[in-house]
Amino acid sequence: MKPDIPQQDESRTAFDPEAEAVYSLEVVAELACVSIQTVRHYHEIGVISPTTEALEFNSEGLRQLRRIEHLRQGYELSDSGLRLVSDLLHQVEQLRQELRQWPR
Amino acid sequence: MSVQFKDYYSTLGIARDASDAEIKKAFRKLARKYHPDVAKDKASAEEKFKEINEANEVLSDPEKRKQYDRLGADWQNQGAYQQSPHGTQEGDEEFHFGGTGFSDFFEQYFSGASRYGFSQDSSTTTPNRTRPGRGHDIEGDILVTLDEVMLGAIRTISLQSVNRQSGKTDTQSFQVRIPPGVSDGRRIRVPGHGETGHDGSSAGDLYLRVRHAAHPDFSSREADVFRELNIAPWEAVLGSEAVVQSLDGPIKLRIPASAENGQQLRVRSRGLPKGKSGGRGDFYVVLNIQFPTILLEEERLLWEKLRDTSTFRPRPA
Repeated sequence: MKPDIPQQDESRTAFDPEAEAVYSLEVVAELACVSIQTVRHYHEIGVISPTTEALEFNSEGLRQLRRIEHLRQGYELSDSGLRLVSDLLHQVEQLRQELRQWPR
Repeated sequence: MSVQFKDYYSTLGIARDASDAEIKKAFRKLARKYHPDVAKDKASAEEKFKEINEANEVLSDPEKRKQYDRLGADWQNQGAYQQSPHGTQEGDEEFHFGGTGFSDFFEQYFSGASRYGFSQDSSTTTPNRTRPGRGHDIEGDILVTLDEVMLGAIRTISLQSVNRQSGKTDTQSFQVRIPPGVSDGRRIRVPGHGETGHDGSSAGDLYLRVRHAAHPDFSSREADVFRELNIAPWEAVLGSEAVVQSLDGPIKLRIPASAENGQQLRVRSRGLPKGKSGGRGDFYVVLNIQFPTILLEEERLLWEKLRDTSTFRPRPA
């Protein structure tokens, strides 16, 4: 909470979230523990949003991918089930965020 | 490990049936006293401010407030609350955060924090997983003040995991850089700090969801910052000048003649930083026309004279 400005010595050990990190298709598949074909498939059915047409992802895209993979494995959802659930989750998150931004 | 119930009403010093306006007023008053960006004694104010902000985060949101009231009633009836909180059911470990600015109680019931990734429970997973033992991803909230958003900061976070079966606890501490301009709702990914992997597999990731701390004077939307400015009716009609504090120093502002209540005056590029682009959001001053409630005799005469002389007709006769 302290408004401490990053110091030289501290910044070496602190984890840097790499604000604009972009992962290639291969890397994102590796990080989500799925095959490249699976990533392509999720993209085709429209449940993940890469940042570029070359299927590169930012960390939010990686999060989506991991969540979808969890939904498929954990709840044995079909493609249409995945579409429905990811759509609903997305809407809930967006509405909650709008509600937060609403002047209180 | 059971969590401690938090009495958010007493934190804000308000009654259980307080109106939304009373909650807002109580929060502002306390936040002005304890906000780390404002308070004189920063160190002692910080803890208090976190508590106030957490209480406000729950009570100012009608949906969360309802949920909190229900939870409070159940807590009283049962002594200790038995029902498991949402989102923390899966897996065989539970987690407690430190250094995020939110209590365990908030984290469990109100952050919507969740764990996902690869479930360890074989009954809910298909057998053909590519890497069966990978740890869950974990999500938690992190409270960030507008000052930290302006300048960026380094925060020390601790994450304690408790194994439900063995009761074995493990605490890891690490530092996370809060990048300047980080927006509300953004998730900071900390690789490898989620649940530990099984059978030598890799750990899950930790996602910290940024929550801008409510400020007594400022509010934010994306990179734009808003501040209310109270003005007198004649300032609105005749125009005026005022000095307004922004997040980084005072701004001299011209209020145009015929200004309206709620009108927003924009000061370009004096809001929050916009990530790496180097740009900044805008600063908005929202005009709030105030009317006198106590009148001196002389003032009353002037208002009466205005009434009798004015050609202004706010509605058709």
